[in-house]
Amino acid sequence: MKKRLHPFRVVLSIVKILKNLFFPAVFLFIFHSASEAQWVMIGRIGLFLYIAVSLIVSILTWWTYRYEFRERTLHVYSGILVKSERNMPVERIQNVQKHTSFLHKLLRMTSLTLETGTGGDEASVKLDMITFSEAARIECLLNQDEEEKHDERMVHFTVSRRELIKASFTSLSFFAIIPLLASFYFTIDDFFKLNGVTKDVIDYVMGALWVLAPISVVLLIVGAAAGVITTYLRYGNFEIASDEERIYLKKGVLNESFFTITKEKVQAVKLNQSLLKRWFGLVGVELISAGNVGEEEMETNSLYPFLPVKQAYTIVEELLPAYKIETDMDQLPRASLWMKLMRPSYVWLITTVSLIWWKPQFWYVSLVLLVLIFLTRILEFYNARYKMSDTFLQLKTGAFTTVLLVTSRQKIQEIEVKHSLLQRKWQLVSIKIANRGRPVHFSEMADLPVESAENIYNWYANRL
Amino acid sequence: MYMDIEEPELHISTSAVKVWRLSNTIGHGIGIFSIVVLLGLDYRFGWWSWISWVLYGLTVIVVLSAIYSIFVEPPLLQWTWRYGVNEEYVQLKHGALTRVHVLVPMTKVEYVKTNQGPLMRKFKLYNVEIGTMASSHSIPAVPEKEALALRAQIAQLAKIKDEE
Repeated sequence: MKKRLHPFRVVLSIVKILKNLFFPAVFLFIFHSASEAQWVMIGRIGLFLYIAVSLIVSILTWWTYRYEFRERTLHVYSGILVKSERNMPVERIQNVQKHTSFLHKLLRMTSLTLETGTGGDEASVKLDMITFSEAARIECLLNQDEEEKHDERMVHFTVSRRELIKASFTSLSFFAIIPLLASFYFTIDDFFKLNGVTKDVIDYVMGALWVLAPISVVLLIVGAAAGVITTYLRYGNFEIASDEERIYLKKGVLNESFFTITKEKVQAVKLNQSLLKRWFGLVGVELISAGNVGEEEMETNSLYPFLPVKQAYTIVEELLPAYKIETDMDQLPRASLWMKLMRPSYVWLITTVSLIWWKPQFWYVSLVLLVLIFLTRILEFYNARYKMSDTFLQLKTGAFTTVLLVTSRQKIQEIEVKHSLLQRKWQLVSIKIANRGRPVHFSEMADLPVESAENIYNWYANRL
Repeated sequence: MYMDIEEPELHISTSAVKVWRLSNTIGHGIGIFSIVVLLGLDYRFGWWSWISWVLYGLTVIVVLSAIYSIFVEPPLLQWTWRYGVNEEYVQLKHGALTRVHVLVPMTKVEYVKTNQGPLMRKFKLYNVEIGTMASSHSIPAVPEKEALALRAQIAQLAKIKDEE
């Protein structure tokens, strides 16, 4: 039986149309409200015509879009003038994503995205307005083979309020208030021509430091509150669960997303740590998967950006029993530090030459840049770790933000090793591996000792 | 041998040197011609002085690049390029100062194809391109007979359909 999406699909289109037309409408009806000019009239008629046409198109689109599950295949029929039919075998569906936006919530509806592992536009089907019971029915259809396992879903992590607050500070989201305030100020300034007034105010504030201090404190508090709220809205209700074959992620308060990923499709696990997260002992966990993840929900791929380090390791091992993260990893030899420092920096060369040419009075910028570059390289050397076990390869790289990649031999698509003249002199080799993903994920580790690189290359070459 | 790893043995065609020299000469010829035309226009219409400086700079870069890519690079590249194919994997190696080894398991090969430009057609040479989910690698300038056999062999080993 062919089904249509819920008629509320049209409401979704209307909201989208109105959202897009907001600024032209403000322009035509508010800024030029009194205008009788011909082009304003034409613009207004055009606007209404556009709304009418889009409305008809969206109704027809909804009417002609139908789907059905027949013989374990999803058939999608669509197109107003040019009819098209798509078939997607249920076996091919790798990830299921349930997204409930605020609007969906108001209407008591949800949307479901079914993703296959292939690339291109045809990779996923989005049923963007269906009832929860319909979504449950589809999910049930997809999981028919392992229905009984469904009950064994195990919850690994739910976020607590304390952790959310900690998270909002490490993400530095409270600084988001600064550009917000600035854009707010400039918009007001443009509209009301505040030039004179604001300048006076600023002069007054600058003149009286005792006013400045409380103002900054208030700003900081407002910023922190805004940070906590945005983090809460994005990561509140966060939950990681899994059963034998799949991992389930849930997140969001106003916009709820629910994401399912097949375990065997996980190509690699990535643990990210920024400087701040390192101080707080937190780590962001990311799963690199072969499936095509919708653009806007890209971040659902990241398991959770603020997990305590120890907990992160156990969760990864619980979720993916095949994975074992070694904490005791090998360091690079001293020679790699010299190699890193010796490498010519094109950024520095170009900057210095341009400085000498155009602005020789700023020569010290070149010096500062050089120090920064050296500092980055030294940090890169101290952070670099690697480890190879029977089935896994772990690479840790990065200067200020470190990235630890864990992947298995089977999931590595190819390996590249290279060595320059100087590297050969110091017995060093750089390696680069590729993992499937969208986009393809490359990991590079520079200046490994030659014996280790040989081991890794031969380990990969003698694959079973 | 610097690294203790199995290295590929097969060479690419020696005509590659001629093909690369010819194509790089044509490319740089066009580059120099365009710069000369621009310099002439500059002289005729008296553009800003920085434009002349940029053009002189470009001339130096193009001439240096021409010397390198016509006289130095082709023989070096031809001399250092090696490839190897067995049931397990495709192996590539190239580069003189910086040496690069690439290893692609047969099971990861998605497609293999051959292509040739007009110059290569004259010398009966083909590029053999091997693609994986992650990227693609090209073995340059393989003689016709070997290239077609290689394409068939890789396709058969990787269990994929032959592609033109």
